[in-house]
Amino acid sequence: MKLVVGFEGWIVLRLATDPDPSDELRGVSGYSFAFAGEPDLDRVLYLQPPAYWTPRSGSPPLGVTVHSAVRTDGEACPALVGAVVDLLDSPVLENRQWTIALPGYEPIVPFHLQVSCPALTIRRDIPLDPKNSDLPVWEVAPAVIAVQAADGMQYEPQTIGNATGIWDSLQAVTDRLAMLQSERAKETDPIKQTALDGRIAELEIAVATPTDRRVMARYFVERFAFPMLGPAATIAGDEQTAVGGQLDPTNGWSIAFWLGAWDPDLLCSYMQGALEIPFVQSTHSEVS
Amino acid sequence: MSSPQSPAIGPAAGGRQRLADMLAEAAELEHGLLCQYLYAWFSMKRAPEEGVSWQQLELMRQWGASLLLVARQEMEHLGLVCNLLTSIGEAPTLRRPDFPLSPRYYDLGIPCLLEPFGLPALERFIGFEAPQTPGGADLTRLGRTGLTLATTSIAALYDEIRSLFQTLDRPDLFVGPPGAQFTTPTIIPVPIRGVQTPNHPIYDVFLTAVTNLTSALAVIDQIVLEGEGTPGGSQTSHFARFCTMYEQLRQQLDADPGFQPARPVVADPCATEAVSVAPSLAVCELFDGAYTATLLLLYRFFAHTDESQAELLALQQAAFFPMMTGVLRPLGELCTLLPAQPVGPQTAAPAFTYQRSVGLLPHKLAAWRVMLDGLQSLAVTSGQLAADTQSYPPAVCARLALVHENLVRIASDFEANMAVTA
Repeated sequence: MKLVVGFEGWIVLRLATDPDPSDELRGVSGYSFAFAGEPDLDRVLYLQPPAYWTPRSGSPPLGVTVHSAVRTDGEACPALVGAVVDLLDSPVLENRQWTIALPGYEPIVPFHLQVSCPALTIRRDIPLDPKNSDLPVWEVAPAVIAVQAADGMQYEPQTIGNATGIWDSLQAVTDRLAMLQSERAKETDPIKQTALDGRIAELEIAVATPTDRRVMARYFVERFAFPMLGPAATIAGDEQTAVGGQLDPTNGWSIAFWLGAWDPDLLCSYMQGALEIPFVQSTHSEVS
Repeated sequence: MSSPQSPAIGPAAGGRQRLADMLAEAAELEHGLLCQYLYAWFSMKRAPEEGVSWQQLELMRQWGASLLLVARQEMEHLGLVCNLLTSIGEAPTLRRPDFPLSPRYYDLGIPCLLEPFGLPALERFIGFEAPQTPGGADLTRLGRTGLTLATTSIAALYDEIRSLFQTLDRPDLFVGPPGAQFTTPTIIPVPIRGVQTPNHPIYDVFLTAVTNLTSALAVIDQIVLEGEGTPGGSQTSHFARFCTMYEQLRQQLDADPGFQPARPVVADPCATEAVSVAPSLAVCELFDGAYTATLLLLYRFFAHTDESQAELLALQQAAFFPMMTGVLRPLGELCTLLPAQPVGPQTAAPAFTYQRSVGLLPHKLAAWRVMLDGLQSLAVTSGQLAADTQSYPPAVCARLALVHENLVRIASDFEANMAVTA
């Protein structure tokens, strides 16, 4: 028997975009930027909003949480619903100008997953190369990287629409532009005015060019699906109360999720997926 | 050098040679332009700590985006001219003379210099990209800059190339193999499922094949259109972009005479002793080494002989995105952060010089070994520099480390492809 944990939410992703170098700090030749007064870009996937970052106006509620937790015998585990899902230790999409992987085929490194709620905290660190966990990403063989990497960039407006309610990206951009122009008219702080000027300038490009990445990026997803191999998980809390049995910390874990709806104006993206964790055999017989 | 005004088209054979010469000159020019535009970008300040306001930085961000877009399109123009050369059976031209070049070198009346971002550099850029006879919106734009054009623009060169193609068009003009032509998907193969991209620009770059007069003229028109714009004036032409930058910069300088958008880079980075601080010179030389390695890869890519499709892909995957964006650009930006001399404010800058021997390596297996050796040497050198925490500040070491990691990966992937195909 397995525990299936469904999760979703908006993440913060402040990264420079091609053809800027991956370590570009402000954004120049791509379509994502750090504007006046904002901290440098850092490429990190923040499943929970970082303390240093004040979300831009228009931002959706940020944070990935568990929306369902159900055992494969059909029993719900309500204690886990609302649990915070996080990737720890500054994970980044490792592409590095197509040096590590082609766009859409990048792994998330490191992949240190944590699900936590008052009743239970589950953490599992997955090395990119389970047989050689110390190997830096730029030395890991392409075939090994591919196991944990995304499986291509895919045009999926329906997936995005169902998950986020955004069906018309151009309309979303147009509405955002109007909102920012209104905000700009009222803003008195010169640095905030300048930041708004930058956002407005980029949105004007988007509205004028509906095929631009500033518009189209919202319709794409990158799908990840891989077995979670490597060191055993750390599980702390009352498993019996939270999920009705003992979870296997080592074997049979897998995860599948997608990232998409990338909003280069807000520097956020949507994440949705599920984590599967088996119960240990003895617990299996107890609960089944 | 040849003059756009001189000889009229002669006998067929002479005319063909003239066409080849002019295309080679166009390739040199496009290559030189992209270096000058990139240099201007490398010189630009990036943070308020460098003495510019947030408002100025926002303008500079937009100038930088425009400048890099134009530079990418000059790379595209270089690729298109190589396609034109290949179409008539000639070799691609990736060599160019060192900077600086006198105003008479190309009969443009404009010197070719590595010059920091500022009004003088923009004035030259406007001259390079100007329509032969500005009209409509372009005339208004030019008027707002207060500049007058007393030069011959590159448009005149392409005008003659266009005429030569039309005059020389006959079955034996386009003797180059169609399979040696390169298009956008072959240089930037963005793998997006569900989206067709073959006939669209990617990153503002649109490379098309040349196989006959129609496609040759279309390519020439594209180059001219992107540079000088439409006869009535185009907002997105290089000329329009540079006029806008010039006008905005002048307004900023009127409001704040102390505004300096560029770092105090050395006046002539190619001069002997321009950079005498050894660690700074080492980064500049690493840039030049990476530039040389990239040119060798590009030569072999554009003038491949018996490479398979997989081998061409391996060359592409080394030369374009990884080397240009993951190595050359970070190194170019790093150079202008480093001191040029032990005393004084001047900073170093990339000289865009390459080794005298750069050219097409003709024998495939040997060529691949030479190119691999170059990449591996760069990986070693960059690793040594990244580890030199005594000479470089932490932020510079971190960026050098990323360049090193990228080079290690590029070299190992290249070697793996070589092993497969050997």
